[in-house]
Amino acid sequence: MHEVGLASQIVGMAVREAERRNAFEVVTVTVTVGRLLQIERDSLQFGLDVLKGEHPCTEKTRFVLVDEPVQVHCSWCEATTIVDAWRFVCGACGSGAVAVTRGDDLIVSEMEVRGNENIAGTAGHGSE
Amino acid sequence: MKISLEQRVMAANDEIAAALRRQWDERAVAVVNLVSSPGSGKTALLERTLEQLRGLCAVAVLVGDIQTENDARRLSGYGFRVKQILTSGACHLEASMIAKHFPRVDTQDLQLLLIENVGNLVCPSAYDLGEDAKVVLVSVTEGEDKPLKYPGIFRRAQAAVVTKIDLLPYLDFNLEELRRNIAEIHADLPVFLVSSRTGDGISAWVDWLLGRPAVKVQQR
Ligand SMILES: Nc1nc2c(ncn2[C@@H]2O[C@H](COP(=O)(O)OP(=O)(O)OP(=O)(O)O)[C@@H](O)[C@H]2O)c(=O)[nH]1
Ligand SMILES: [Mg+2]
Ligand SMILES: [Zn+2]
Repeated sequence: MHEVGLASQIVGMAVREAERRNAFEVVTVTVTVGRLLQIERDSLQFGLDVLKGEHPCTEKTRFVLVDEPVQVHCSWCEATTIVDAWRFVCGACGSGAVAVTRGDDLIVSEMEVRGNENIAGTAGHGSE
Repeated sequence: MKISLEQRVMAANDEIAAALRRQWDERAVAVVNLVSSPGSGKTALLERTLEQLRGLCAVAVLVGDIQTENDARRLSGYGFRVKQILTSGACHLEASMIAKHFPRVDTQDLQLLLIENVGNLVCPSAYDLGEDAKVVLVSVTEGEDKPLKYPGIFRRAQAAVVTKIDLLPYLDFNLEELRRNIAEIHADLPVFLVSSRTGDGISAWVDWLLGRPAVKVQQR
Protein backbone atom coordinates (compact mmCIF):
# COMPACT_ATOMS: atom_id res chain seq x y z
CA MET A 1 0.00 0.00 0.00
CA HIS A 2 1.28 3.43 -0.85
CA GLU A 3 -0.93 5.40 1.55
CA VAL A 4 2.03 6.22 3.80
CA GLY A 5 3.97 7.65 0.84
CA LEU A 6 0.99 9.76 -0.15
CA ALA A 7 0.55 10.90 3.47
CA SER A 8 4.15 12.06 3.63
CA GLN A 9 3.69 14.01 0.39
CA ILE A 10 0.53 15.67 1.72
CA VAL A 11 2.21 16.66 5.00
CA GLY A 12 5.15 18.01 2.99
CA MET A 13 2.81 20.10 0.81
CA ALA A 14 1.14 21.56 3.92
CA VAL A 15 4.47 22.37 5.55
CA ARG A 16 5.84 24.05 2.41
CA GLU A 17 2.71 26.15 2.01
CA ALA A 18 2.81 27.18 5.68
CA GLU A 19 6.46 28.20 5.40
CA ARG A 20 5.79 30.14 2.23
CA ARG A 21 3.16 32.15 4.08
CA ASN A 22 5.08 32.55 7.33
CA ALA A 23 2.38 30.67 9.21
CA PHE A 24 3.43 29.01 12.45
CA GLU A 25 0.53 26.61 12.69
CA VAL A 26 -1.56 24.62 10.24
CA VAL A 27 -5.01 24.19 11.77
CA THR A 28 -6.75 22.06 9.16
CA VAL A 29 -5.95 20.54 5.79
CA THR A 30 -8.77 19.33 3.58
CA VAL A 31 -7.90 16.53 1.17
CA THR A 32 -10.25 15.39 -1.57
CA VAL A 33 -10.00 11.67 -2.24
CA GLY A 34 -11.44 10.46 -5.55
CA ARG A 35 -13.14 7.08 -5.36
CA LEU A 36 -11.40 5.71 -8.44
CA LEU A 37 -8.00 5.91 -6.74
CA GLN A 38 -8.78 2.93 -4.48
CA ILE A 39 -7.12 4.65 -1.54
CA GLU A 40 -7.62 3.04 1.83
CA ARG A 41 -8.94 6.04 3.76
CA ASP A 42 -8.16 4.67 7.22
CA SER A 43 -4.54 3.98 6.22
CA LEU A 44 -4.18 7.45 4.72
CA GLN A 45 -5.66 9.05 7.85
CA PHE A 46 -3.38 6.95 10.03
CA GLY A 47 -0.32 7.90 7.96
CA LEU A 48 -1.19 11.60 8.15
CA ASP A 49 -1.72 11.47 11.91
CA VAL A 50 1.62 9.74 12.45
CA LEU A 51 3.70 11.84 10.05
CA LYS A 52 2.32 15.24 11.04
CA GLY A 53 4.32 14.98 14.29
CA GLU A 54 7.56 15.39 12.36
CA HIS A 55 7.01 19.12 11.83
CA PRO A 56 6.25 21.72 14.52
CA CYS A 57 3.69 23.54 12.37
CA THR A 58 1.61 20.42 11.66
CA GLU A 59 1.83 18.75 15.07
CA LYS A 60 -1.78 19.60 15.91
CA THR A 61 -3.22 19.75 12.40
CA ARG A 62 -6.56 18.13 11.71
CA PHE A 63 -6.50 16.39 8.33
CA VAL A 64 -9.98 16.10 6.87
CA LEU A 65 -10.51 13.55 4.10
CA VAL A 66 -13.42 14.27 1.79
CA ASP A 67 -14.74 11.43 -0.31
CA GLU A 68 -15.31 12.45 -3.92
CA PRO A 69 -17.78 10.42 -5.96
CA VAL A 70 -17.28 9.73 -9.64
CA GLN A 71 -18.64 12.29 -12.08
CA VAL A 72 -18.81 11.70 -15.82
CA HIS A 73 -19.56 13.90 -18.78
CA CYS A 74 -21.49 12.36 -21.66
CA SER A 75 -20.43 13.30 -25.18
CA TRP A 76 -23.74 11.98 -26.53
CA CYS A 77 -26.29 13.98 -24.51
CA GLU A 78 -23.85 16.46 -22.88
CA ALA A 79 -25.15 15.63 -19.39
CA THR A 80 -22.82 15.62 -16.39
CA THR A 81 -23.87 13.03 -13.83
CA ILE A 82 -22.65 11.31 -10.67
CA VAL A 83 -22.30 7.55 -11.21
CA ASP A 84 -21.31 4.49 -9.19
CA ALA A 85 -17.57 3.86 -9.25
CA TRP A 86 -16.59 1.57 -12.15
CA ARG A 87 -19.98 1.88 -13.92
CA PHE A 88 -18.95 4.18 -16.69
CA VAL A 89 -22.32 4.93 -18.27
CA CYS A 90 -24.14 8.24 -18.50
CA GLY A 91 -26.61 8.70 -15.63
CA ALA A 92 -28.99 10.55 -17.96
CA CYS A 93 -29.10 8.58 -21.20
CA GLY A 94 -27.22 5.35 -20.43
CA SER A 95 -24.61 5.89 -23.14
CA GLY A 96 -21.10 4.57 -22.60
CA ALA A 97 -19.56 7.56 -24.36
CA VAL A 98 -18.50 9.21 -21.13
CA ALA A 99 -15.33 10.78 -19.80
CA VAL A 100 -14.55 10.91 -16.08
CA THR A 101 -14.52 14.52 -14.89
CA ARG A 102 -14.25 14.02 -11.11
CA GLY A 103 -13.34 11.26 -8.68
CA ASP A 104 -10.03 10.33 -10.26
CA ASP A 105 -7.60 12.48 -8.30
CA LEU A 106 -6.10 13.19 -4.89
CA ILE A 107 -6.10 16.91 -4.17
CA VAL A 108 -5.03 19.09 -1.26
CA SER A 109 -7.97 21.41 -1.67
CA GLU A 110 -7.89 23.73 1.33
CA MET A 111 -5.82 24.75 4.35
CA GLU A 112 -6.41 26.85 7.40
CA VAL A 113 -3.31 28.40 8.93
CA ARG A 114 -2.41 30.67 11.81
CA GLY A 115 0.54 32.98 11.62
CA ASN A 116 1.73 36.48 11.19
CA GLU A 117 -1.27 37.66 9.19
CA ASN A 118 0.46 40.88 8.11
CA ILE A 119 3.39 39.14 6.56
CA ALA A 120 1.13 36.43 5.15
CA GLY A 121 -1.16 39.12 3.76
CA THR A 122 1.61 40.82 1.86
CA ALA A 123 3.00 37.49 0.73
CA GLY A 124 0.15 36.85 -1.54
CA HIS A 125 -3.15 35.67 -2.68
CA GLY A 126 -5.76 33.17 -1.69
CA SER A 127 -6.46 34.68 1.71
CA GLU A 128 -10.03 35.36 2.64
CA MET B 1 -6.82 32.29 7.62
CA LYS B 2 -8.28 29.94 5.03
CA ILE B 3 -6.33 29.22 1.89
CA SER B 4 -7.74 27.58 -1.21
CA LEU B 5 -5.00 25.37 -2.68
CA GLU B 6 -6.34 22.79 -5.14
CA GLN B 7 -2.92 21.15 -5.48
CA ARG B 8 -2.72 17.65 -6.94
CA VAL B 9 -0.69 15.27 -4.80
CA MET B 10 0.49 13.37 -7.88
CA ALA B 11 1.67 16.55 -9.62
CA ALA B 12 5.36 15.99 -8.78
CA ASN B 13 5.35 12.45 -10.23
CA ASP B 14 3.32 13.47 -13.25
CA GLU B 15 5.70 16.29 -14.19
CA ILE B 16 8.63 13.89 -14.32
CA ALA B 17 6.51 11.40 -16.29
CA ALA B 18 5.54 14.10 -18.78
CA ALA B 19 9.21 15.00 -19.34
CA LEU B 20 10.05 11.33 -19.97
CA ARG B 21 7.14 11.00 -22.37
CA ARG B 22 8.27 14.06 -24.37
CA GLN B 23 11.78 12.63 -24.65
CA TRP B 24 10.48 9.22 -25.79
CA ASP B 25 7.97 10.75 -28.20
CA GLU B 26 10.73 12.77 -29.89
CA ARG B 27 12.86 9.67 -30.30
CA ALA B 28 9.90 7.41 -31.16
CA VAL B 29 10.74 5.01 -28.34
CA ALA B 30 7.68 2.92 -27.40
CA VAL B 31 7.32 2.21 -23.68
CA VAL B 32 5.23 -0.59 -22.15
CA ASN B 33 4.70 -1.03 -18.39
CA LEU B 34 3.75 -4.54 -17.20
CA VAL B 35 1.63 -4.73 -14.04
CA SER B 36 0.29 -7.77 -12.17
CA SER B 37 0.03 -9.45 -8.76
CA PRO B 38 3.23 -11.03 -7.45
CA GLY B 39 4.00 -14.19 -9.39
CA SER B 40 1.51 -13.83 -12.26
CA GLY B 41 4.31 -14.40 -14.74
CA LYS B 42 5.67 -10.99 -15.76
CA THR B 43 9.30 -12.09 -15.82
CA ALA B 44 8.47 -15.41 -17.51
CA LEU B 45 6.56 -13.54 -20.23
CA LEU B 46 9.46 -11.12 -20.68
CA GLU B 47 11.92 -14.01 -21.04
CA ARG B 48 9.83 -15.46 -23.89
CA THR B 49 9.30 -12.03 -25.37
CA LEU B 50 12.98 -11.08 -25.41
CA GLU B 51 13.79 -14.41 -27.03
CA GLN B 52 11.38 -13.55 -29.86
CA LEU B 53 12.43 -9.92 -30.22
CA ARG B 54 16.10 -10.73 -30.70
CA GLY B 55 17.25 -9.32 -34.01
CA LEU B 56 13.84 -7.72 -34.68
CA CYS B 57 13.83 -4.73 -32.38
CA ALA B 58 16.21 -2.75 -30.16
CA VAL B 59 14.88 -3.34 -26.65
CA ALA B 60 15.81 -2.26 -23.13
CA VAL B 61 14.34 -3.55 -19.87
CA LEU B 62 13.84 -1.97 -16.44
CA VAL B 63 12.56 -4.30 -13.75
CA GLY B 64 11.28 -3.17 -10.37
CA ASP B 65 11.32 -5.26 -7.22
CA ILE B 66 11.33 -4.49 -3.52
CA GLN B 67 14.28 -6.85 -3.01
CA THR B 68 16.71 -9.06 -5.02
CA GLU B 69 18.29 -8.83 -8.46
CA ASN B 70 16.78 -12.20 -9.44
CA ASP B 71 14.50 -10.93 -12.19
CA ALA B 72 17.23 -8.87 -13.87
CA ARG B 73 19.48 -11.92 -13.79
CA ARG B 74 16.77 -14.02 -15.49
CA LEU B 75 16.34 -11.38 -18.18
CA SER B 76 19.99 -10.89 -19.02
CA GLY B 77 21.54 -13.07 -21.69
CA TYR B 78 19.12 -12.13 -24.48
CA GLY B 79 21.44 -9.46 -25.84
CA PHE B 80 19.53 -6.50 -24.44
CA ARG B 81 20.37 -4.06 -21.66
CA VAL B 82 18.58 -4.89 -18.40
CA LYS B 83 18.62 -2.98 -15.12
CA GLN B 84 17.06 -3.92 -11.81
CA ILE B 85 15.43 -1.09 -9.85
CA LEU B 86 15.27 -1.83 -6.13
CA THR B 87 12.45 0.19 -4.64
CA SER B 88 13.60 -0.31 -1.03
CA GLY B 89 10.14 -0.98 0.29
CA ALA B 90 7.96 0.91 -2.17
CA CYS B 91 5.20 -1.24 -3.67
CA HIS B 92 5.34 0.44 -7.09
CA LEU B 93 7.68 2.21 -9.49
CA GLU B 94 7.58 6.00 -9.67
CA ALA B 95 8.56 8.26 -12.56
CA SER B 96 11.61 9.54 -10.65
CA MET B 97 13.00 5.98 -10.44
CA ILE B 98 12.60 5.51 -14.19
CA ALA B 99 14.26 8.88 -14.87
CA LYS B 100 17.18 7.86 -12.68
CA HIS B 101 17.76 4.38 -14.12
CA PHE B 102 16.75 4.75 -17.77
CA PRO B 103 20.11 6.24 -18.89
CA ARG B 104 21.78 3.00 -17.79
CA VAL B 105 19.83 0.92 -20.33
CA ASP B 106 19.44 3.54 -23.04
CA THR B 107 21.05 3.09 -26.45
CA GLN B 108 21.03 5.43 -29.41
CA ASP B 109 18.93 3.12 -31.59
CA LEU B 110 16.43 2.18 -28.85
CA GLN B 111 12.92 1.35 -30.11
CA LEU B 112 11.17 -0.34 -27.22
CA LEU B 113 11.50 0.01 -23.44
CA LEU B 114 9.82 -2.73 -21.40
CA ILE B 115 9.18 -2.01 -17.73
CA GLU B 116 8.27 -4.75 -15.26
CA ASN B 117 6.57 -3.10 -12.32
CA VAL B 118 6.65 -4.35 -8.72
CA GLY B 119 4.17 -7.21 -8.20
CA ASN B 120 1.07 -5.33 -7.02
CA LEU B 121 -2.30 -4.63 -8.65
CA VAL B 122 -3.28 -1.47 -6.82
CA CYS B 123 -0.45 1.00 -6.34
CA PRO B 124 1.25 0.92 -9.78
CA SER B 125 -2.02 1.92 -11.44
CA ALA B 126 -1.87 5.41 -9.92
CA TYR B 127 1.67 6.23 -11.05
CA ASP B 128 2.32 7.53 -14.54
CA LEU B 129 5.80 6.47 -15.69
CA GLY B 130 5.59 8.26 -19.03
CA GLU B 131 4.69 4.97 -20.71
CA ASP B 132 2.56 4.57 -23.85
CA ALA B 133 0.72 1.61 -22.43
CA LYS B 134 0.16 -0.15 -19.16
CA VAL B 135 -0.45 -3.86 -19.67
CA VAL B 136 -2.15 -5.86 -16.93
CA LEU B 137 -1.37 -9.57 -16.51
CA VAL B 138 -3.64 -12.02 -14.77
CA SER B 139 -2.83 -15.72 -14.44
CA VAL B 140 -5.47 -18.41 -14.68
CA THR B 141 -4.78 -19.46 -11.09
CA GLU B 142 -5.94 -16.12 -9.72
CA GLY B 143 -9.69 -16.29 -10.23
CA GLU B 144 -12.07 -14.80 -12.77
CA ASP B 145 -13.08 -11.88 -10.57
CA LYS B 146 -9.69 -10.10 -10.54
CA PRO B 147 -10.94 -7.30 -12.84
CA LEU B 148 -13.84 -6.57 -10.47
CA LYS B 149 -11.61 -6.60 -7.39
CA TYR B 150 -8.89 -4.46 -8.96
CA PRO B 151 -10.78 -2.32 -11.48
CA GLY B 152 -8.31 0.56 -11.36
CA ILE B 153 -5.54 -1.16 -13.27
CA PHE B 154 -7.95 -2.80 -15.74
CA ARG B 155 -9.43 0.60 -16.51
CA ARG B 156 -6.02 2.22 -17.10
CA ALA B 157 -4.49 -0.67 -19.07
CA GLN B 158 -4.24 -0.68 -22.88
CA ALA B 159 -4.12 -4.46 -23.03
CA ALA B 160 -4.60 -7.48 -20.78
CA VAL B 161 -2.59 -10.69 -20.89
CA VAL B 162 -4.03 -13.89 -19.43
CA THR B 163 -1.03 -16.00 -18.43
CA LYS B 164 -0.29 -19.66 -17.63
CA ILE B 165 -3.02 -20.98 -19.93
CA ASP B 166 -1.15 -24.33 -20.05
CA LEU B 167 -2.63 -24.89 -16.57
CA LEU B 168 -6.25 -24.59 -17.74
CA PRO B 169 -6.84 -28.37 -17.96
CA TYR B 170 -6.09 -28.70 -14.26
CA LEU B 171 -8.37 -25.88 -13.09
CA ASP B 172 -12.06 -24.95 -13.09
CA PHE B 173 -11.16 -21.58 -14.51
CA ASN B 174 -13.89 -19.95 -16.61
CA LEU B 175 -12.19 -17.94 -19.36
CA GLU B 176 -15.47 -16.52 -20.69
CA GLU B 177 -16.36 -15.18 -17.26
CA LEU B 178 -12.97 -13.46 -17.03
CA ARG B 179 -13.52 -11.90 -20.45
CA ARG B 180 -16.95 -10.65 -19.36
CA ASN B 181 -15.50 -9.14 -16.18
CA ILE B 182 -12.73 -7.42 -18.11
CA ALA B 183 -15.23 -6.00 -20.60
CA GLU B 184 -17.42 -4.72 -17.79
CA ILE B 185 -14.59 -2.49 -16.54
CA HIS B 186 -12.95 -1.74 -19.89
CA ALA B 187 -14.96 -2.43 -23.02
CA ASP B 188 -12.86 -3.35 -26.08
CA LEU B 189 -9.65 -3.93 -24.09
CA PRO B 190 -7.46 -6.25 -26.22
CA VAL B 191 -6.94 -9.57 -24.39
CA PHE B 192 -4.05 -11.96 -25.14
CA LEU B 193 -3.99 -15.57 -23.93
CA VAL B 194 -0.47 -16.89 -23.40
CA SER B 195 1.60 -19.65 -21.87
CA SER B 196 5.23 -18.81 -21.25
CA ARG B 197 5.74 -22.51 -20.60
CA THR B 198 4.57 -23.85 -23.99
CA GLY B 199 4.89 -20.62 -26.00
CA ASP B 200 1.19 -20.65 -26.91
CA GLY B 201 -0.11 -17.22 -27.84
CA ILE B 202 3.28 -15.56 -27.54
CA SER B 203 3.53 -14.59 -31.20
CA ALA B 204 0.27 -12.58 -31.17
CA TRP B 205 1.50 -10.73 -28.10
CA VAL B 206 4.91 -10.09 -29.65
CA ASP B 207 3.25 -8.81 -32.84
CA TRP B 208 1.26 -6.33 -30.78
CA LEU B 209 4.47 -5.16 -29.08
CA LEU B 210 6.31 -4.88 -32.40
CA GLY B 211 3.52 -2.65 -33.69
CA ARG B 212 4.09 -0.10 -30.96
CA PRO B 213 7.37 1.51 -32.16
CA ALA B 214 5.91 1.75 -35.67
CA VAL B 215 2.95 3.73 -34.32
CA LYS B 216 5.35 6.10 -32.56
CA VAL B 217 7.32 6.72 -35.76
CA GLN B 218 4.10 7.61 -37.61
CA GLN B 219 3.03 9.97 -34.83
CA ARG B 220 6.24 11.92 -35.06
N1 LIG C 1 2.83 -23.38 -15.76
C1 LIG C 1 3.25 -22.13 -15.95
N2 LIG C 1 3.96 -21.51 -14.99
C2 LIG C 1 4.36 -20.23 -15.21
C3 LIG C 1 4.07 -19.55 -16.42
N3 LIG C 1 4.57 -18.29 -16.32
C4 LIG C 1 5.18 -18.22 -15.13
N4 LIG C 1 5.06 -19.39 -14.45
C5 LIG C 1 5.60 -19.68 -13.12
O1 LIG C 1 5.04 -18.78 -12.16
C6 LIG C 1 6.04 -18.40 -11.20
C7 LIG C 1 6.16 -16.89 -11.15
O2 LIG C 1 6.57 -16.39 -12.42
P1 LIG C 1 7.34 -15.03 -12.59
O3 LIG C 1 7.55 -14.82 -14.04
O4 LIG C 1 8.53 -14.98 -11.71
O5 LIG C 1 6.25 -14.00 -12.04
P2 LIG C 1 6.39 -12.42 -11.82
O6 LIG C 1 5.07 -11.83 -12.13
O7 LIG C 1 7.56 -11.90 -12.55
O8 LIG C 1 6.66 -12.35 -10.24
P3 LIG C 1 7.16 -11.08 -9.37
O9 LIG C 1 8.21 -10.36 -10.16
O10 LIG C 1 7.68 -11.69 -8.12
O11 LIG C 1 5.94 -10.25 -9.13
C8 LIG C 1 7.33 -19.09 -11.62
O12 LIG C 1 7.48 -20.23 -10.86
C9 LIG C 1 7.09 -19.41 -13.08
O13 LIG C 1 7.78 -20.56 -13.51
C10 LIG C 1 3.31 -20.25 -17.41
O14 LIG C 1 3.01 -19.75 -18.48
N5 LIG C 1 2.94 -21.54 -17.13
MG1 LIG D 1 9.19 -10.77 -11.85
ZN1 LIG E 1 -25.77 10.89 -21.92
